[in-house]
Amino acid sequence: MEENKEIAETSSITVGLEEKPESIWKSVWDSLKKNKAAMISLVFIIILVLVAVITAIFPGVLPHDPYEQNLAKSFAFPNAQYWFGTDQLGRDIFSRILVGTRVSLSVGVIAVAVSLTCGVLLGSIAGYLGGKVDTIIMRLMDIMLSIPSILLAIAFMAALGQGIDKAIIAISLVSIPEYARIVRGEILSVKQNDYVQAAKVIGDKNSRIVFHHVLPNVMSSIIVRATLGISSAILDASALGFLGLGVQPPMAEWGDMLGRARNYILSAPYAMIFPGLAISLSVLAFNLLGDGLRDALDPKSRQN
Amino acid sequence: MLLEVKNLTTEFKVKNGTVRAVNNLSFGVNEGEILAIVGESGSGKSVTSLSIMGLLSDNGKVASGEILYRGEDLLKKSEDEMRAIKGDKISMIFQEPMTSLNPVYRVKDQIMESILTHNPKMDKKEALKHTVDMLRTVGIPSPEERAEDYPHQMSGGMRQRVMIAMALSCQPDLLIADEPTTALDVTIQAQILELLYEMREKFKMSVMLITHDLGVVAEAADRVVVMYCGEIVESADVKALFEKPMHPYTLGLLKSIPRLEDESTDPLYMIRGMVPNPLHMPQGCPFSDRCDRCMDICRKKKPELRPVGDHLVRCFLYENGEETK
Repeated sequence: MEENKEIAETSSITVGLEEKPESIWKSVWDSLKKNKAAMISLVFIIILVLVAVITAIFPGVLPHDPYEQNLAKSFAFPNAQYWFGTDQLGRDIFSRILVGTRVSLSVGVIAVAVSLTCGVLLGSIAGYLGGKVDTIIMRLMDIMLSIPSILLAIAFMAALGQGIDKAIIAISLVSIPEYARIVRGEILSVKQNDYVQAAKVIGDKNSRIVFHHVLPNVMSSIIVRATLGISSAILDASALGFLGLGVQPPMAEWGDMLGRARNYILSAPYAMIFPGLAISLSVLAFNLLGDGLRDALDPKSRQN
Repeated sequence: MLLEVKNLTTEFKVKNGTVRAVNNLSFGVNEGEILAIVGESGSGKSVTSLSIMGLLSDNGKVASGEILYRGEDLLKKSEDEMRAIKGDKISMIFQEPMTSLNPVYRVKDQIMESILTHNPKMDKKEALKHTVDMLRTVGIPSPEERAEDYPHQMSGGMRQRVMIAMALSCQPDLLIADEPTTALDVTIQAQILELLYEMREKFKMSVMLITHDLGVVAEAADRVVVMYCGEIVESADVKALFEKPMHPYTLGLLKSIPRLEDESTDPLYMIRGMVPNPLHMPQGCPFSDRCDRCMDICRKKKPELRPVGDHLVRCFLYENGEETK
């Protein structure tokens, strides 16, 4: 009897014994490493972050002062001195793009952090409690979703006034419903699991069940959505900048640069091309990384 | 009596009305006994256990009755008081060991959580030691190492052992086991039942074993309650029940077990028909439509649960205290 038990169990657990308990993050990282597009994106994003941090701490590394105007040199074609050329006021486009990284990245990260926190909280409450609370929260989210997000952001900006901080608030507000929806949906399915019942059985409080048992199981979709969310926040910020609602001059911001160079697209296309490229490449990088993370976090694809 | 359920009625609101999943149910669990609750799907046995634990889904509620644990009505307890009892005094294990452990935590964290919730003063080292002890008690080999495992690294039987370790970690007086062996294969089933039996001896607890498997009942239980459509149709000591089943439903259940020694080529007996729709219960006895020995009175009136010999039976056949032929 005792022996049979041993055999029955060892045969079914050999798999478990060979691979020592390894953290989920390590296996995610392993499968992410195999995804070339995601890795290139990750490297690109790390460079962006480094650029943002270094230019903020040591403005001296910039080839030119991004705010120094020199009308005599306006619209210089890209050359050895001005790698990306100069804009209508003779400012170095390369330096301005480097400085703009900080604005775009911080808008992306802060906006996502704010909307993620609010969205996750609202979604958890709605999904876990259900009933009337769920109806009220989710209908409110539906109302926000029914208005195109950029339009809503512009409306918020109109109410709040101009400025990058207000742009962050506007972008955060309009992306709350997406997170709330995703989290609510996932929680609805996770809370059906027996381990949530089991947590109730051992006498856990609701708040502990939600934050300790339910949310970690929803984490993968939240991470993926947040990564993709950074790219859409960067895009939204650029759109607001393009419309002249973002940063105050003379601050450098990619969308703002794009918008101001718009009138000269035929005579000086490089004044638009480079900020445009910066926006597209960053957005692309975050999207590809998000895709890679989604595949890596998907347990079905992780096993092979 | 450790747990006494008195006239429990549990109802669920559904689209087309109210379903009475448990109807005026009364039974008790004695100290140290294994009580089996048997019935087919939809007979209300799981709802009974969920009612006791206060785990009914949002559309369900206990409409009336009392659930007395050591003389105190659990239904009158506040949420905080119930939380203190759950996991500490009354524990529960579930049918699906594959899904009852949280996939994102190591096994030790989940058992420790139960211990620390009810003993907030205990330090983590001590809780971990207790956890490993519990894992050893439920028969998990090299418990120190397995405690570090994630649930997906364990087999179903191992996970059910972990669930049992978790449920027993605070040494409850009562363990509710809701079909603990249904999802496991037969050899593991026997091991888990054996384990429950051992644990009962070791921790001097009572077990409420919910199952539809009469083999499990015969092997493990001291006393049996047979449920049909939310009501008790028969209850007796396990020996008495298997020796002399009285209610036609119990008889039908026993007859529909395939037997190895049966040489005949007749098709296996089955209880004809289906469990009636809970929204449209028959007027008389809920089993009347499926009963082989249905009489006129069965379709008009509902029988009462009455003592017949050492059984309690709800059937007109035993109206006079003995079987009418």
